[in-house]
Amino acid sequence: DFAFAYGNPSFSDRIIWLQGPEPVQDGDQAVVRKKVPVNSAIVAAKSLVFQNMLSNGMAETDKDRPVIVNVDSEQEERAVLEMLYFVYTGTFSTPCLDRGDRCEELVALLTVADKYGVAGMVA
Amino acid sequence: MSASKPKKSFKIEPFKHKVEMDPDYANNTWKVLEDAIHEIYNHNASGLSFEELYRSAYNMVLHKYGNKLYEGLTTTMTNQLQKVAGQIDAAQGDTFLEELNLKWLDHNKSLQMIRDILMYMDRTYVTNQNKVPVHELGLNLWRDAIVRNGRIRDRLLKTLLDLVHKERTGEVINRGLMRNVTKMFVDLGQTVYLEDFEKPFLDATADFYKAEAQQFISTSDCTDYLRKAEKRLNEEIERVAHYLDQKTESKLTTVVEREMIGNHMKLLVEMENSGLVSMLTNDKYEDLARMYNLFRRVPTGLQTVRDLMTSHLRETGKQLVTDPERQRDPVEFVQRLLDEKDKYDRLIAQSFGNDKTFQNALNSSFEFFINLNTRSPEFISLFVDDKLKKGLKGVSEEDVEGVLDKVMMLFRYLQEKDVFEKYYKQHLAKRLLSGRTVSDDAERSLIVKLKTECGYQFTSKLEGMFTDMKTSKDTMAAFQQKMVEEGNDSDISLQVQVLTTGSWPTQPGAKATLPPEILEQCDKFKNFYLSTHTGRRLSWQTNMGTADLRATFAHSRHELNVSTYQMCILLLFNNADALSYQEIQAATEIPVADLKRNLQSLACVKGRNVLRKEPVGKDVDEDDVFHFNDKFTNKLHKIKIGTVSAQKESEPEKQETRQKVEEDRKPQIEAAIVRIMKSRRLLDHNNIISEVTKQLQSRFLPNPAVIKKRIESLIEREFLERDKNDRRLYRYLA
Repeated sequence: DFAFAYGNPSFSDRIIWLQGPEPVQDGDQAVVRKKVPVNSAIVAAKSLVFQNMLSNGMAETDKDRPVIVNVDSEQEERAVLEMLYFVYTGTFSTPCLDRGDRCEELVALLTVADKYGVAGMVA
Repeated sequence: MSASKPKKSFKIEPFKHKVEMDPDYANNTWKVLEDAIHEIYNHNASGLSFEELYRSAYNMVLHKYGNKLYEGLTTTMTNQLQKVAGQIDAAQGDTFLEELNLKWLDHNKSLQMIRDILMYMDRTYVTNQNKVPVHELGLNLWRDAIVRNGRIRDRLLKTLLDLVHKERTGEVINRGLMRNVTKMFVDLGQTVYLEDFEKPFLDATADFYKAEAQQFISTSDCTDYLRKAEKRLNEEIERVAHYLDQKTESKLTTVVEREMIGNHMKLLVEMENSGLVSMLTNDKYEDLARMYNLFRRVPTGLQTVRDLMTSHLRETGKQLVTDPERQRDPVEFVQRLLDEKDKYDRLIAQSFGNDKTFQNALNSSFEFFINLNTRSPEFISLFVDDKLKKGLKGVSEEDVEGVLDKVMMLFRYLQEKDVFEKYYKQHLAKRLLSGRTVSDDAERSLIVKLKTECGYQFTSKLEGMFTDMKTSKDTMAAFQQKMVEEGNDSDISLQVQVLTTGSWPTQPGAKATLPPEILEQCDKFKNFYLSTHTGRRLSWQTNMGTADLRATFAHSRHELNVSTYQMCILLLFNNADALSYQEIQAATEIPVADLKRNLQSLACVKGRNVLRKEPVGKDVDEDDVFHFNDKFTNKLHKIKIGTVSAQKESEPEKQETRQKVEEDRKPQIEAAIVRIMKSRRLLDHNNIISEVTKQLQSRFLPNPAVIKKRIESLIEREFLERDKNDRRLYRYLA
């Protein structure tokens, strides 16, 4: 329903920095891999974890700072992006069945959904 | 949803992590979280990364370190709270409660953050292991470490109770602080609130009001006391609204009600010069309403009020109806009853919220004392008589109805309704025959009311009386026309009312010799009437009529309105100036009692004394001589000469009526016995008595001795027989 707002800076008040190791291991230094503009209300509506994160008085509550989300792998990164897409649209960018043969992708997606408490992604 | 529960049945690979699990992983991660918890309590949360902490906790749970995380949290928080307890305990005097409240608010805020970062643990580990959720855990730890801390517990309670006491004795306290602290108790769970606060609070309340009630009762009158109690009650209710849990209200008011009202009820209502009786006597509506509202709150409170009101009502009512002074004037007597009833009706409406039980008490009290006076039925009928004769002139229709309704209400209290009926009939007959009823509508309206109360049988006769009056009017018109036609015009104008025997109260066949000129007219009418109504018998009721006479005196001419008897007497003086009592008696044959009474009204009433009596005196003697009073004067042209008769019945008349009533009851009692026996066939004596009484009690209370006589009479006439084996049993003989 909020597909129009997905990735659109005009409808975003925060930026999520996806941060993780480079494809090539470069010490322990984490690197910002992607910057995704989001609307805090939309994200918070679908994920209680984001809702608390953006409001409970810790660093992320500060609106001038980016919301840093750490990922451990490219796969997890894709899963988080897919989750955000789902949060806005209620569907997936790639149909589920097409992923059928790529079991790991699916598992990663489910894991992320569980971690951030996004209900409705399993169905 | 959960990663461990995928829809498809393939096995999930362990989560891949770039950093392989080193043995210190869990310890290190926990260290991060533990530090964060301390930072949170130290108000440094804004520097923490939620994402990092959440991820850390998430990873610990995911890697089966949930238990370590949970235990670590418990320990850290416990230590933290013990530190807090020390700080609170160290607070001096008044700052104690503020410090506690401050720390409580802190703890809540911190707990909220901790719960947020440990949300994943709450959702999975806590649920699966049936642990206490983080938030609740935090509250429990607070309860044990602070509220039930040996050094804090008693101090806290004492501080709170002291504050309440201060407020009760008029000081201003920080209600917001109180509310926060009581709210804390509630948040910690109902049992904590109830045990650690509410119960001791209610005990202290009871002690406080027990002492205060003692003090008030020795220094205040009832009115003041109730005012204070009401004020206190409202204060406590307000207290609940301000800083206590809503559920405490009913318990708190119960305590106050018990201590202030319940334990002193009798003392209060019976307080001399200010208790219930004084309030009732002086129409203290407001005080009574206050008493009602307060006493309603305690068990048997209203009963206490009601019982005393009833006994007071009965006592004053008894005085009212048995006071010989009051019985002189029946109208005044009934008016007093009505006023008393009005007073209490108003009182119950205004002060007792029209409480049904109070209305019933009022009714039963009236029933009780009205029947203490056997003349009540007669007086009530006389009251109606008075109202219908003159009292209703110029009164609106609604008001008439109002008066009649009130009378009917008194009537309902009567046990001997048949006695009332008897009098009512007599009085109505007099009203109709003397043409003194003011409003036909009012008369009929009352009959309709009586019909619903006494039944058709009674009112049909009354209606018959009205019909007779109307028919007589038509008959008279026809008679007069006939007289004119026949040229039989006389200077005597005769008005005859033909009354149906049975509908009217039976009159003893009091005969009197009518003057010849009147008799002539009477015979003419008799002939006329019988010519149209064959087979009927007419007899003259000379004791009930009236006449208008034109009389010429030395100084003036007057029109005299007199009774038939008086007319007979006066006409004698057309031919004589003086007549002895004996001569008058011989000529008129009026019964002695009536004659004396009529002579008295003609000769002994000032302004009406058209006759002169020798010797002068108030009473008529058989040796008296009567003269035509030539010097009679009066400002009025038309003079009504009443019959000297007490409005109410004299003692012998009363006996007579009584006897008639008893006579009339006999067939009613017999009918009831027969009805009962017909359906029951076999019944013992006591049961018959009680059933007959029950059947007849809407009309009168039959005397058991009379019932017994009726049974014996029925046995004699072979309607019933005694059982051969058991003499107490009666059998119905068909």
